[in-house]
Amino acid sequence: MKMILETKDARPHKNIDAAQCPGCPSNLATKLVMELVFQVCEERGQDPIIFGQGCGIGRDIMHRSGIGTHDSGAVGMHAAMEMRGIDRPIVVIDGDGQIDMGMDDLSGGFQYGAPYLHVVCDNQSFAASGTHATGMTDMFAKVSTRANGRIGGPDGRVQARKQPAMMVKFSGAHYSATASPAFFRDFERKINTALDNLPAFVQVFAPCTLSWGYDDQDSFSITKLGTDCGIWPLWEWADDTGFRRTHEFDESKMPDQLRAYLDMQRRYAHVTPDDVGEIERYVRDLNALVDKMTRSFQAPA
Amino acid sequence: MTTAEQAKTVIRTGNQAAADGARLARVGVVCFFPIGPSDEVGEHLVDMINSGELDARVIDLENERSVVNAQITATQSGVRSTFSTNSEGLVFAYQPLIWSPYARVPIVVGVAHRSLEPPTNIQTDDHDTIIFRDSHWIQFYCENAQEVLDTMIQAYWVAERHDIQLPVFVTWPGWEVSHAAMPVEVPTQEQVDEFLPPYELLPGRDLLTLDMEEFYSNASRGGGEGASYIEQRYAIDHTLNVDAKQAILEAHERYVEVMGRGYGGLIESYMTEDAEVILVGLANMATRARQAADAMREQGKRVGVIKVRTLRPFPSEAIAEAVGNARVVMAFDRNPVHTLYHELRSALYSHPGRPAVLGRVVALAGRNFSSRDAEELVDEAFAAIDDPAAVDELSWRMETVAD
Repeated sequence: MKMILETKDARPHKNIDAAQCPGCPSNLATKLVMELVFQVCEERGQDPIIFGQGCGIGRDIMHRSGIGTHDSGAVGMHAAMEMRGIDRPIVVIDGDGQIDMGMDDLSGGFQYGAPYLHVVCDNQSFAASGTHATGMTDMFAKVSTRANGRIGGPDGRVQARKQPAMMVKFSGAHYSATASPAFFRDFERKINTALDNLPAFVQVFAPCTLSWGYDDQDSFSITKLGTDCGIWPLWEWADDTGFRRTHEFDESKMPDQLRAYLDMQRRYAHVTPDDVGEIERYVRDLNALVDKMTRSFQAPA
Repeated sequence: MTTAEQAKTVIRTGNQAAADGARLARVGVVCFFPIGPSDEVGEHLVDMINSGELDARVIDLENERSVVNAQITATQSGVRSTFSTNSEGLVFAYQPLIWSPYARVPIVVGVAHRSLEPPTNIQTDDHDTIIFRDSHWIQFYCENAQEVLDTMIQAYWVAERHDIQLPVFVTWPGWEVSHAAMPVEVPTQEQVDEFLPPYELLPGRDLLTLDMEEFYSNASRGGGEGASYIEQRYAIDHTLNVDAKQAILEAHERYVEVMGRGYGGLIESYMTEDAEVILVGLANMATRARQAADAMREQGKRVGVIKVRTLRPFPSEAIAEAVGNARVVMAFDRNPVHTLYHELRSALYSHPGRPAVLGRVVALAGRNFSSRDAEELVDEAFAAIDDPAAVDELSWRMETVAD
């Protein structure tokens, strides 16, 4: 496998960043995915079709079907490929808003089993419309309709985000993973592995400078810190190799790293010490789940 | 050349006839989601795939929205497709259904009508496709199983023409046609192949042959195609209301040549030449109207009927010509928003001698509407000739009488 950073002829998909916010990790992730997909497919003699809609890939570049329905779109295209005897890898790139509007479409597409790769650049919000909550918005994170990150009102509930990467594995994906552009080798390997195990899903951590409220020069450090502190654990789950964590979680360092992660973002400016304690519990629970999944879903004997 | 003698006359329900039409059109993708009365069409097609009669893939996703979306991308990928649904299924799929005309995707969707909820009801009226009237879909309303089969085949011919590229609803009354068995002449594959060419995408529109590197290198951002929005909408509106009328007439004419039967084109007129009162209906409301007209003619009353085949494009010119010197035009509207009534008033506003246009909402949710009901309404129409003020322009027929 040739690593993208070692190549000198990476394709410049220059228009993909034409109108993006400076320092957008979602856009960075999208470009990386596209370069990886084009390169890997070229090495395999394949000609991929990439489409989708989201902050990273843009609103109108390759939006060929309805809202929140990219998975059924891939299913329709694949059925046509079968009838016409065409074999091109299908890759969907979109955001967490798209899959949340179409959670049914997402699970249905994977259940149907068409061989496609779906990459979600997850910025935990409907960022382009003005920072509104999606199912992937983290607890206590301020969005337009949740002033202090609580659902329903100032004294409302807090709720853990959905875990679509786990959901799709139970819906028929042969490979599912979380990834982060800050851990590039891991990211690159996961895209490669995903293309070998279709249908596959990769959920990419993609902080948003505007809706999260941080200095755009901090995009890389916040992306890395999100995984280091454990709020975005990296793992993968393949049919043949089972579930495994791909970046270690150090619980002893978690409180300080989490505090640093929260302090960098305006969306958490309102949190109280009690709130932070609740987020810490959530991070511990989430990572305990990842560890339990690792123990429970081993590679087949 | 093959001849009509080779075609078989068999007993078919409306749903079976729709499936026959899709099979003969050589669809390559069969989309499916359960909802009665339409889902039986997909079941019949799957049976055909299983028996080897049809070479196609089945797409049965988790709801109608996803299924229609997959139908759209399969069609954009160069494969002819079919799907049948109704009522809440259409509402569930509203977003991709509205997407299709404006993305110029020529999908064909069959609809065995069912009333919209609430209250819970499985009976039939036209409201479920009437709500798509203002979305640039071509809409055919069929009266019986034979017309369903024939129109299904014509629908692909019209939709896929490169100067049309619009989606088409082919509809028929739920239960009354969808599940009623009647004689149907099923054309041979050779006949249909002679009429309907293979589906071909517009040059450069094939999703499966796009050069992605070139595409992404040339793609524009920040508005893109949206800058020509009004021009695109104008083109679609013109295509629907001008070009599609001609295409539908041409399809009908060619179909008559090959199959030897037809339905008049955009409308089917019955004894309108000398009529004082003309009844107008979609699908089997025209059946009732013709029965009433026959009965009234026996009493010496000059009654004619116009069956409107296409609600969109609305055949204003053909209707005006058929109305001629009639004094009263009465719509039998099988929907709660009295669409035909309003369409007729608009179409005939500038008609010389402007006839009175009356609307009667009838037969909602399968409510009985007998030929005697229709005759009583015709009496109201004649009363309007003598004293227009004595008759309601628009009313609902809720109490009915048996035949």
